[in-house]
Amino acid sequence: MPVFNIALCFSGFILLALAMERHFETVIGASPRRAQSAMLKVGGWAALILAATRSIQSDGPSVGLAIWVGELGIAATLVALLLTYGSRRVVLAAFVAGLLAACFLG
Amino acid sequence: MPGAAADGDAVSYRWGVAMRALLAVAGGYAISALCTASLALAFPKDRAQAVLGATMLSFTVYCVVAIWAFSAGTLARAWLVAGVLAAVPAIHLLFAWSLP
Amino acid sequence: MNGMGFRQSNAWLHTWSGLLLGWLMYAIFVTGTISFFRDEISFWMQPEQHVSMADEGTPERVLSAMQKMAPDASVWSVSLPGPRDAAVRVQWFDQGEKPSKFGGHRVALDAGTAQVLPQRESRGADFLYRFHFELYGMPRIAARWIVGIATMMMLIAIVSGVITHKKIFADFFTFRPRKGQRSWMDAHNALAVLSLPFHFMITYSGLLLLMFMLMPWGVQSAYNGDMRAYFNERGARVTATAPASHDQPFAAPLAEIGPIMAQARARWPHGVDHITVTSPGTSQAVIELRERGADSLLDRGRSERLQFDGVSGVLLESVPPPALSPVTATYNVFSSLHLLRFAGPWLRWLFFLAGFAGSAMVATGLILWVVKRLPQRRKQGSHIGHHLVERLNVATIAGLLLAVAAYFWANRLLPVEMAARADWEIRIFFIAWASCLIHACLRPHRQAWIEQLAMVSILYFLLPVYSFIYFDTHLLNSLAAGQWLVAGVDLSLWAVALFSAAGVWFLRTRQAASKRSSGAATTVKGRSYAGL
Repeated sequence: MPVFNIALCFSGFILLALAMERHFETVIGASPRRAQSAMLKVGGWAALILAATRSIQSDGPSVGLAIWVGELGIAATLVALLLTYGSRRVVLAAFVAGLLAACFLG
Repeated sequence: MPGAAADGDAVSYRWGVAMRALLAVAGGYAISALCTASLALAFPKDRAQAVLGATMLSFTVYCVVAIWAFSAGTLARAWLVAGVLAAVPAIHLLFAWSLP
Repeated sequence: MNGMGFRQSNAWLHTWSGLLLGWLMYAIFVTGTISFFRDEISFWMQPEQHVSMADEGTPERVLSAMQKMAPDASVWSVSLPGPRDAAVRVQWFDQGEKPSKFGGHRVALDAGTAQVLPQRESRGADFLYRFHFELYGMPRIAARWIVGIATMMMLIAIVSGVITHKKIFADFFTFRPRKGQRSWMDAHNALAVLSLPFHFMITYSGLLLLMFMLMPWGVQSAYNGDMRAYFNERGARVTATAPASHDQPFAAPLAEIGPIMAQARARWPHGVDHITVTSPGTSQAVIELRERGADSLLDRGRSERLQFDGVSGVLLESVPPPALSPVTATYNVFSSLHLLRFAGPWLRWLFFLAGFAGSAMVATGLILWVVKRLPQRRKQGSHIGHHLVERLNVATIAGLLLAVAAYFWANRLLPVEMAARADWEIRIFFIAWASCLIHACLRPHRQAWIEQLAMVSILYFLLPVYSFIYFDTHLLNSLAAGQWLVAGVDLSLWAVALFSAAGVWFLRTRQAASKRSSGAATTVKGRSYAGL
């Protein structure tokens, strides 16, 4: 279901956002350590790439990639809005979304 | 945008903008057309693909020339580099069309 | 520019390439975005056809009806109902007539009863689709040139925008509301960057779709201007392979369509989109089925086709498509992504949202130009350029939406038997748009925005409400029956109404806030801009 792929992209972008000092400080309240930032980046990119793979598997390479890029746009917009108006709840939202996506991967 | 300090500056500023715009619009089109025509002849065995590829790339060339026209440090340099970009395909085309 | 750095020059270029034709770019973006749902909206604009509901027996029923309506036709062309259109669209050509898109006889059939459906005389969403690249009321080539020039300026605006955006990665998720000019800038950046691949792709592919008109010099140089020779060499589309029959055709009944459809459905997950029968009722009949949707964009999102002998129903050998070169494949991917003919509903909605973001990107850019110059105007006064931009902003950003609503209202209200009805729907569109321009010139700037956005909200809200009173397929019924085709359009209209209302609310709370702190409010020629 496409909703779950978007949830996966959403989690990925949250991790990537937290990898940035500005957003990490807003949400967690402390400065990120370099190792933390690196892990968040790896996790974020992994989630995005996993979403791309799922999309390609279900719709073929050219259509699948087009769908993936569209989903990235929506997911990134949701994360930007959440970070602007939601802040601390971001972390919770990421975990919920990630869980939903993970449940339907199997 | 830089403000005009005196009337003379204002006139020279407007002249600069106009000349750069001319280069971007007309020069851009001319250079893209020349590159397209030239590139189309570059692969005689696969003519249709060469034409398609060259035409698709022409818009990138146009965009690059337009950005160059306004990014170059001086007006003279803008036109000079554009001149070189136009000369290369032009010379190729002259050769190609003069051969039997 | 002399004395400016690379980023600064591109900032200047971005502003001017965006501003000069910005209003046209907005119109192109909006009509293009609407066109992603062209079939759905055109269907919505034919309320008498909403009763059509497809079922398993539709293909047989329709072909029987064709047998009665057009037994001697040379070609039957049947578009089956699907997620984008619930009626059956049939077309047939008489003997000796060359098949073409708008020729022959065209009729809409009810999918459930195969009865002919009434068709309101209307251009439907095709008017908006054509406007997107051919505008209206001017010679086609001239219009395409204007659109092409605007598209190139859009490309330059995008590239210069990316160059000039210093913190494109650091600011990726950043939006700072309630900070005046900063917020408008953040919004413009977010709308641009978060869908940047789409914006770049749709712009460049738009140029590619016009490329041989804009840049014919490759063909000129390599083929001496012979376009036909070029297209032949590039590879013509695979056309229907008629069976090699050396006998004179004689009358023969058409094969049963049921088993043929079953074979196709077994192979194609999304079903059959289209049936074409050549030489029906003769021994040379060929039935061609077309797949709904497509697997790959590499062959231009070309759906697979299966051909069957029209008398025996046996599957014919198909000619494999020619091998694709990477250059042609690249063109095919770009053009398929722009036209989106092949796409299923999910991808269509994704692109629609991206197109909406793109339209909003252009709109916020135009508004940002005004907002940025307000401090300077407070000190030095305004000149005519500022007023022109302000008025064009209202008249286009809000005005175009209002004109589209007027077009839909004309579709609802104009009497069905009226002469030149389709032309009048279009006239009303332009009259509404022109009225918005006049209104924008007469009213103070902020009032113009509030009034036009409020009108937009009311008009869009009332459209589905009108359906409650006059049509059977209003929102409650269509939702209950699962008729998402009609319900989707109605719900989208309400979404636009909501969005517009939010805009009015936003402007009025700003106005209230600035009135409260009116001691510090500064004015520009009598108009208050504090708190903007």
